[in-house]
Amino acid sequence: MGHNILIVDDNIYFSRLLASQLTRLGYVVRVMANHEELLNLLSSDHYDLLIMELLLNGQDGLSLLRSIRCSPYSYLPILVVSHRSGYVDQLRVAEFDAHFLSKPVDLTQLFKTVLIMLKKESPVGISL
Amino acid sequence: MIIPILTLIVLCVFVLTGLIFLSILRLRFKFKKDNYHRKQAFAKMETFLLSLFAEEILPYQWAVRIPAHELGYLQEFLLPYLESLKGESFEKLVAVAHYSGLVKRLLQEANSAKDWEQAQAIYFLGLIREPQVLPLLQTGLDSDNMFWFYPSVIALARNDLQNLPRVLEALRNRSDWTEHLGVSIFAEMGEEVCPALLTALSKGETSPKIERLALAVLAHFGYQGAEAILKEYILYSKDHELQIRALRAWNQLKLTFFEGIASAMKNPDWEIRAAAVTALSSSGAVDQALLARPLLRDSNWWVRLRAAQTMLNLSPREELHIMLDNPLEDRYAKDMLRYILTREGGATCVIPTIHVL
Amino acid sequence: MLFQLFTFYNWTVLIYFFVLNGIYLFLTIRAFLEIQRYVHHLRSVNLKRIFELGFYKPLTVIAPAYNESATIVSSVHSLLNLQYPEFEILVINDGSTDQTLEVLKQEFRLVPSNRVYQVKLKTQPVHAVYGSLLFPQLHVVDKQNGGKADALNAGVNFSQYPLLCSIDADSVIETDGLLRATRPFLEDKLVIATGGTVRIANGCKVTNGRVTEVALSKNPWVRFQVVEYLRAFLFGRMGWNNLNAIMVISGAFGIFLKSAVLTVGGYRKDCIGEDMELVVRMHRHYRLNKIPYRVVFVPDPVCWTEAPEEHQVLCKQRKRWQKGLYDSLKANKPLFFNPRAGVVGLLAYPFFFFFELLGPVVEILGYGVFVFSLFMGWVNWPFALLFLSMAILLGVLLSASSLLLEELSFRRYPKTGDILILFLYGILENFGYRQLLAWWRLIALLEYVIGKRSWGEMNRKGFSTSG
Repeated sequence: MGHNILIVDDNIYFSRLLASQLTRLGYVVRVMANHEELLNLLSSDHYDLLIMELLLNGQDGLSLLRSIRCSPYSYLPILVVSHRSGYVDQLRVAEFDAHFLSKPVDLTQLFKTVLIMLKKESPVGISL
Repeated sequence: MIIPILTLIVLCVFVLTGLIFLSILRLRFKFKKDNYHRKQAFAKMETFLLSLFAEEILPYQWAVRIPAHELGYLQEFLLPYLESLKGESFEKLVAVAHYSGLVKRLLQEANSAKDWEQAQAIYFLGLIREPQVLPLLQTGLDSDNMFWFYPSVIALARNDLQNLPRVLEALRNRSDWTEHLGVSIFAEMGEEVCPALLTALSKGETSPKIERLALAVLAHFGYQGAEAILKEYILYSKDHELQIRALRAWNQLKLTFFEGIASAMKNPDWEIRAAAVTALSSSGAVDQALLARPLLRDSNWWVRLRAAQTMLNLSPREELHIMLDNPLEDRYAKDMLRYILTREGGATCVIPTIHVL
Repeated sequence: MLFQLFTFYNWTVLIYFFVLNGIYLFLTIRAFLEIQRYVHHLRSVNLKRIFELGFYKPLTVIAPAYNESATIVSSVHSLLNLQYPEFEILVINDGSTDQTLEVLKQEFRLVPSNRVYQVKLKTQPVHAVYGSLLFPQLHVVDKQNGGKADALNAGVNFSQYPLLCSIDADSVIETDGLLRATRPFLEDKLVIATGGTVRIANGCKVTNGRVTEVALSKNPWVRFQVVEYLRAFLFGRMGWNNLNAIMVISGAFGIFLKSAVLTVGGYRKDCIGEDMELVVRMHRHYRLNKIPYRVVFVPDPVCWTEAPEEHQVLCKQRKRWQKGLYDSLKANKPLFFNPRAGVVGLLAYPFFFFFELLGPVVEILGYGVFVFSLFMGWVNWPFALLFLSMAILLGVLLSASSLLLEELSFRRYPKTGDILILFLYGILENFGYRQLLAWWRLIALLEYVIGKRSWGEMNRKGFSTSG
């Protein structure tokens, strides 16, 4: 284990809860409420998974997704956990090659998804 | 005469200004103090919450340690969790709300006269599926005010599947909601709502808006039992919006190809063509891949994009390259193919933000 | 004879003064009640959640641009970052003579679009419409120069959503500002327009087109204006809110129901304060035709704007506001003391006429008469001193109450020091600043009446409001 996970959600209480649960499962977790520094953070540290919300204060999560996919970190596996779960949003998230779970979310299911995603991606940095 | 009156007024105003100045300072001080208490209470509650989820304590062990004057904070604190969680962890939080007496207090508030507190209380009780809130909802459902209607309809929808006709009735009576909202209301009811919606559709729903919503909900849950009715809509519906929704649902359900899709691909409405070709793609009907080809020369950019994606999904790669090398092939078709092939090569970022479909 | 005239004037001023302050007091009390209600209400609803789920009306943001190549890109980026579930941005290039259009084309990869629209309001010819390849919600309309009102009308023609938001290119909207300002439309179907509070951005830290840290500027001119804005927006508007008689929705930020704008015929091109004129005309149309409607003011600060830091610029701005006020009132004369127009006709319109428009005349005349009577030895010293101190103290009282309202509600200034400084400036403004403003406004009025109908340069800053 010991994978690095980054959580971006402007609801800090929810992301802190996720963080503490994931830490108990043996991951190294970092929480961000503010997405502005995200790309800098990705360049300074290595992460194996990004968990994010689409509704972020002041920025559309989809454009954030796009900027990640445009950056050198386009390989990063992304799990979107969002309140916004319409057909169009799910389709867009899939186009950016990210997984989608809609809120309200069952934590057990979330952890299962994380586990599967990390297992699949374990040889880090799949190049496309 | 006038002089003493003026003197009096000046004095009064002077004193009043002084008082206002002092109360500004007092408010500032009080606010800081309140803020401090609030922060403390929240920090405490978060510690409890984490140990609750770590299974170190039980819900009632937390609940008994919440003083009555902090129930307001508890309500505020729990709300975002209740909105984001379901399953076992959700039930634990509901138990805390019950044991701490919060539910009892909110039920009182929901009966009180102050409308903002009432709406807030109803929203919370709706979230935790408290059945006692049901008799209090009618005012909200009839209200023009969204901030009043919304908590009520959510409370109704979350409570019991039995309430479906009432929810549909409430939505039928007003026009100012969006499909997005409608879907989210039904999403609250869980997948079990799908058969009930199907029955409503087959009985002949009168409002087209509700019909569209129902199709969107079926797509949302990916409900497999919907195949027959979707087919009917794709083939016979006169309403373009309904046809589009049906095709989208077809796509979402990943159902197999049928000839209705092929005829929809010739529809004059570009949104229908785009939805149809996407449905073809998700059906995985490799033998029908050629059908997408004419749409590659479509006049609409979105249709061409979807057609190209479908070709990429269904045809062998070489075939696309052959098309690209063919000097007689349409220029726009080639542009789109090139675009989709470079995108596939990893440069996902060139996609413009998808607008429709 | 002269002495009688003087006494007569004294009494007029005294009565004028009492009526004015009576109305102010009345408005302040109303504002207090209103704000209490609003703050309670605000606490109870989680805005984001409700809008996320689709309770909203789609909205078109119209941003007219004239020769703004230097700032337009960052302005548009900050508009794109606004939080709202469904909106489009229409940048109207009003025949700029600089590189505005080219800069936009390059930055947002604009391509000509064949968007269909209906000309419902007549405007200068439109050259081309562009769509962006990067942001589907962004559109640029390139048209021949015709002034701000004309550009806004073109925007109304092109908009496809039921709500319109007019925005000054140089103002900074809070990210959830649109959500908060459109709230009244969701609560009540009768709402046709909402305005938001405008605050002064000078001294605040702005990053990525957002105000991230609120602080007070060091410039005294700005500080005076901060007090003025607090007073004007917090009670000047709030007090009228419940009476449904808000006459001014700032041009820097206002949201309108498109159908209502079309009903009254869009913005008027021959007016200086086209934003105020539109609102007054809406009142006129709806009141006189007995159609129920509401114009609502949202007291949260939703928009931050750059205030002039030099007195020359300030002078120009205030003159423009005064002329705009004059124009708006003149264009809607039928409202004056019209009982059919209810509160607007009997209270709001006359208030703006007597106290906002003619206020400077009475004030400056008062100072003149005082100096004159000093010469003639007619001054009744105890009376003069008392009157003066009352005038000043009432001014301070109003500023203090607006500070108190701010404290009760939004507390945007985190430092206690800033509040004390503002209080001090609330006292200081009575010695010089107030008189200067009155003087400028008087000059503006004279210039206008005498016929020097100067439009000033095409200055897009500022919004028509009166302090």
